Amino acid sequence: MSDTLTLVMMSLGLYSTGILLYSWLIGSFWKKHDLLITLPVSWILGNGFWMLILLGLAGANLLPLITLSRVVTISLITTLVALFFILRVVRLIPLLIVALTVFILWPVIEHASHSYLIEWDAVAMWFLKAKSWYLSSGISDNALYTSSHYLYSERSHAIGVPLMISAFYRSIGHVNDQIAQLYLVQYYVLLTIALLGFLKKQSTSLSWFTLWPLVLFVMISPSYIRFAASGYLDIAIALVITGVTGLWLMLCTTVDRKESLRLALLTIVVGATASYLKNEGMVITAVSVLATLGWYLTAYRRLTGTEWGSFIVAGLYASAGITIWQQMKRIYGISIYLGEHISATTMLSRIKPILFHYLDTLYNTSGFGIGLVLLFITIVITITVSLVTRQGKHLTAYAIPLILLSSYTGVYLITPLNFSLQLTSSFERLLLQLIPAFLLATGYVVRRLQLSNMT
Amino acid sequence: MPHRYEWYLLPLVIILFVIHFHYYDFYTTNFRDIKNFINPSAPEGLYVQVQRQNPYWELYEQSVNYQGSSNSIYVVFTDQRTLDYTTTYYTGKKTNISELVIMTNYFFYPREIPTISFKQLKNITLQPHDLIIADMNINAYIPATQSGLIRLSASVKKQHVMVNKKFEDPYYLFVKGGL
Repeated sequence: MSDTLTLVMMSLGLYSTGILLYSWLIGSFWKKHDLLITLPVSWILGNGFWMLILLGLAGANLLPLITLSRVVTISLITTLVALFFILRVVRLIPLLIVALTVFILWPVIEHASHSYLIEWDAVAMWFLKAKSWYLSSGISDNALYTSSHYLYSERSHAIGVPLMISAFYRSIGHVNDQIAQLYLVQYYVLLTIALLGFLKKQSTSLSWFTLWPLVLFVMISPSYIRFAASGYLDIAIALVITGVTGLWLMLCTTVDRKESLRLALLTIVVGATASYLKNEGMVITAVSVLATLGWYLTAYRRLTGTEWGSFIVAGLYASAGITIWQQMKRIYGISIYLGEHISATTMLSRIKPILFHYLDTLYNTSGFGIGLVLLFITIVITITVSLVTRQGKHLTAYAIPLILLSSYTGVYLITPLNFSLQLTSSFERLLLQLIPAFLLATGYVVRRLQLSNMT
Repeated sequence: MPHRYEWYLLPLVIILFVIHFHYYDFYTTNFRDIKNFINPSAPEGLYVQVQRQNPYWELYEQSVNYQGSSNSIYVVFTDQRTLDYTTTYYTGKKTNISELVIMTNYFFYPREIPTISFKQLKNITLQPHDLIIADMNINAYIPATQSGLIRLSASVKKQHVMVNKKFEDPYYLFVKGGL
């Protein structure tokens, strides 16, 4: 079996697992969800589920259990079962939109499998780790985590993606960091599809004639293309943030209590995947749990026993990955770089450069075209209109991306690394994570204002 | 069909899309050039053909050659003491790690390749076939006749450079000659 075919099989297994989880979580409301949302959300769910299993195997030194025959068998079985569910939600128009989007993004997909690893810090951070998990049976004999030679590799980062790539290496029996990029590029394509799906479903009344070029305008900007398959995980985490924000906004407009519960659980389980991707993913997981629970309590005041039980189970699932990884880090003495004492004076002196850098990034036209400028203007106008017309409650839609932006700002304030270097080199990538969520929130607020104008 | 108010918005959206598509086309042309360079029926396969265009191909080749070898391998790193994001990585422990060190560690993993300074290199007695990976041309400072280091030349001319790739600093490979 060729390396590409193995990766395709593995990906099918991930989608299918996600589809099964999705249909189980959302229950009888499954038919209300269309392909543009189910496809990307299923990918997030499937990845989260298998990353948890892989993390457990890595902790128990059982990674050699992963073999080609097992990967193919599981993928085939889940795919056949999932086909039954997915065929029930396939409609012609969303299918055409997916096909058209894939067609436009095809050069990027093709490029992913025809490119060596370009970005050296992505090599240091993720692909070295993937190789280390492939060459070890688990954490106890993983040289990268037991030797001080690789300290630069920021070992505290979550290991979901390196483990997933190492599972691909194990299936093919050698390292192929070229085809492995096909796994990463899927996050980018699905991010575009998710943005289309969520905007169409919930936030806007625009037709596909406007919506499709508008979303593509953002997603084919140079920064997104550059990071689409270059080995960084910012696009991967952007997809989870988009999934959480989109589902949470859907939850905010759902009136049926049973459906709300299903959506709330789905949002939490989707948010769990972020904790397997990067350090900042833990914040996203926590935000998805708290924002969902917060909304639910505000809307229904008192929760029934079943609802509490469901939330607790979803919360346990969401925290499972974090708990296992924290335990592994504790045993092997792996610490995060954010531990040193930074004085209050230093922190205060950093506020001005941080804010100015944020504003400078708005004018980063070589990376984002005029997309960021337009988005910023629209956000300011929608906030102003909402406040003037006393409809400020809609602005809670910005809660998730704003909390995440604040958490990144917090990290810049306390970082012991070279502050200006970290700020200037990482913020562009962090913004890639948040732009889709800001777009969804803006679309939501514009739509609410529009609806209130009509009534 | 678009709603009535959408007609006012549509021209702007299409113009914006076309502008970005123009930039996107610039990337896709580059991607296509690289893809067209690949011969799908070549016996060496897709991986090697693409990797040959990697600026660190020679380093990768040596990592394959030295797999399981007992010969010593060193990276000679002349720390510039200047933070430069394109070539160095600051760990916060007052050490700079160059792109070359990172790529060496990646290709040679799990073998740990010691990083030494030029000064340390002069004090090391090298055995025949030991490999030196350096960010400077050692032969320009110590004549090859004296050091016995034979420079390995680049085996493949890189014909396709990725857009958006910051040019890496040059690196030099030497092997200790003589038996």
